[in-house]
Parts: sequence; structure tokens; C-alpha cells
Amino acid sequence: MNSAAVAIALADDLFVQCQTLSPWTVNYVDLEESLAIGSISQELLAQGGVLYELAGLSYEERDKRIFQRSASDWNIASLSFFPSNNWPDVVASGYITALASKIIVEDLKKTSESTAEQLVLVGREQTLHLAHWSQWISLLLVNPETKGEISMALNNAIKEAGDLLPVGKDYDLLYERWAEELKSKIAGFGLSAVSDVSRSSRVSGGSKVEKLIENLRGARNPDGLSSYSIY
Amino acid sequence: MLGDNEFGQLREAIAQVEDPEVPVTLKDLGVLQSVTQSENGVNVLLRATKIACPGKSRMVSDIESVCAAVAPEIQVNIEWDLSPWKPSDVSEVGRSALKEFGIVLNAPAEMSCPYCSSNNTEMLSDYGGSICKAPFRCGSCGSMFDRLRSVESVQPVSISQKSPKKEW
Repeated sequence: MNSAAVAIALADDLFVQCQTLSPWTVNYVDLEESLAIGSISQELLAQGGVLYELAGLSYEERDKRIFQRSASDWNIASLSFFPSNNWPDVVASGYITALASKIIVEDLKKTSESTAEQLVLVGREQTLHLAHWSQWISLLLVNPETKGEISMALNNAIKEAGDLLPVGKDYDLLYERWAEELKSKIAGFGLSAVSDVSRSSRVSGGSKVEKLIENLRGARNPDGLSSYSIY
Repeated sequence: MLGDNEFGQLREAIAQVEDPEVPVTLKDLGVLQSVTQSENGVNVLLRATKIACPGKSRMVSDIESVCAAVAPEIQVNIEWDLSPWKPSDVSEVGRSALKEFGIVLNAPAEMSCPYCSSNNTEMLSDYGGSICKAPFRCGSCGSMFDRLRSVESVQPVSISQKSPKKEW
């Protein structure tokens, strides 16, 4: 994968993550968290847009990619399909994807000097997202009633996280760094019994993708016009 | 191309366009970076305070409207600069106007209340009522105010005071 392909793959993941996270703006844990989720979701969407743009995709190409691409051409991370209706699961997948995104963006900065300044924005926002999810993990671990839930959620999310990083020999070291950092951070939470991440390849298409893009495309009516208006 | 006089009028009109949410001009907010002219028309360069700013399309349409009023025949090309916006991009006039509106630019560690100038302030969350703001409370006068968020200083606030719930 070249750096443009890596940026586009990450942008796809961020776009989907935004969509799966956004229901928590109304199905909320508390008001402050609802506001935070609203901001994090918007930031994920914008980060995806920046990455598409930096990879050279025009507005029309981005639009076609989201709204016209067939399910078999979608190749998104397994964590995109992680349960999103249970808060500890959302926290666990949010934390792991933010860590992966931050590491990928830092690597892209090294290989794309001309766009490094723009990637700083994405990287710093991901750092704040990571801190946000990290605080939630710590909070859920403190309470005996929620400790088991968040531990299980992290364990399950890690099992699905092996395809978050780019594939190919060029990214072996990056993958090792990510796996080590994830292991270290999980141990930092006092969770030594959680599984190690195991590298895997992404699977294209399938019924889960079809359902996902059907939901995403609900924003447009059959004529291609927006189903919603803000102003 | 426009003559110097007409181009000057257009630049002045664009400089008066305000942010959709806060009564501060885009120029004073540091969002309006430049207005230049070429054979292809007038080129306006903007830099959003946040890349996810939901007011971007409104800003573009407001600029297009004033341009259409001043020089309806001229092509206007509006572009977004993806370089990071910084609090230092805000003019003194902009800082003063934001402060009156209860919005400050200081880094969290150097925060003071815009109403009573006390340093006894508390950052309540990393995220606020809109994407560009983080909420603060003044421990002296009790006022709530916002900090305009930038990516310059990432200083997460602990959410450990939240009560975990068993049922989600």
C-alpha cells in the first residue's frame, strides 16, 4: 500500500466510525458525553475529508466513493462492525481505533512531508480522542459493577483489531509498534489477562457491509438529493 | 479584472463578513487569510478554526453574497487552507469582541475569567456545546465561559468525577 492508499483506507474507517458513533449524541450516557460524542463524530468526519483530499480525491470522487461504490469494493476494518449499542463496547472500540489512527497518521506524516502540517491537525485531534476514551476506560474499571463489562469489551475489541493497520511488508514494523503500544497501554489499565492483538487481513463486501452502507446512504433520497436540511 | 478602487471596495466588503455564530468578522477571527485578484477572478483564502467547523458552507455563501452585491460580474474563487489555525491569528479587535461574548483564547494553564479576570478557573470538559469551544467555570464569580479550542495545546480534562452506570 502506498501512502495515498493508506490515507484513503483510514479515511473510510473514520467516516464509518463517525456514522456508528453519532447515535450516541441522542442515545446518551449523560449530557456532557453527548456533546463530546457530537464533537468527536464531527471531527472524525472532517479528518476523513482531509485524508481523502490529501490523497488527491476530488469532491466528486469522494462523493462517489461513499454513495455509489458497490459493497464488494468496501474494505473496512472489522471493528467497524463491533457492537455500537452498548457503551463499554463503544468505549473499547473508540479507544483502540483512536490509537491505531494516531499511529497511522504519525507514520503518514513521515512519508508525506508536503502534507505533514495538515496531518498535525488530524493527529492532535486523535490524541484528544484517545485521552477521552482512556479516561472512560479508567472510570469504568474503577466501579466493580462495570469493571467486568469494560474488560470483556476490550478483550473482544482487541480480537477484532488485527486489520486496523495497513497491510504489506512496509508496514510490519508499524504493526509491531502498534501491537506493543496497545499491549503496554492495556497493561497500564491493570488488565494483564486481555488477549494480544493478532494481525489479520480485511474482508471485502458481505451482508454486514451491505447493511452498513444502506444506513449511510439513508442521508440521500433515490434521486441523489439530501434527505435532510439543516437551514 | 477589477480596477483598484472596485477591488478595494470588494476587499472591504469581504472583510466585514462575520462568523455565523460569534459577532466577530472572519478577518478579525483569523479565518480570512487573504483576498487577491488574478485573471481568473477574485481569490479568497480561508482557514477554519477547526477542520470540522460546521459553519464553513455558511461562511462561503455569505462571502459570495457580498461579492455579488459589490461586483456581480466577477468570478469569486473561495478555497480552504488546511494549515492549522492558531489563536495568534486572531486580531486584538477579535480578542476583545470574543471576550465580550464570553469566549477566551488563552491556553488552559493560563486561563482567566473574561468577566472578573480571576485565575481561579476550572475547565469542565474537552468538548463543549459546539465543536470549537471548551467550557470553563470561574471559581470566583461563578460565570460560565468558553475557550476557543485549537489544536495547539492538547490538555485532556479528567472525567473521573462522572458516575459510572450499570445500565447503558
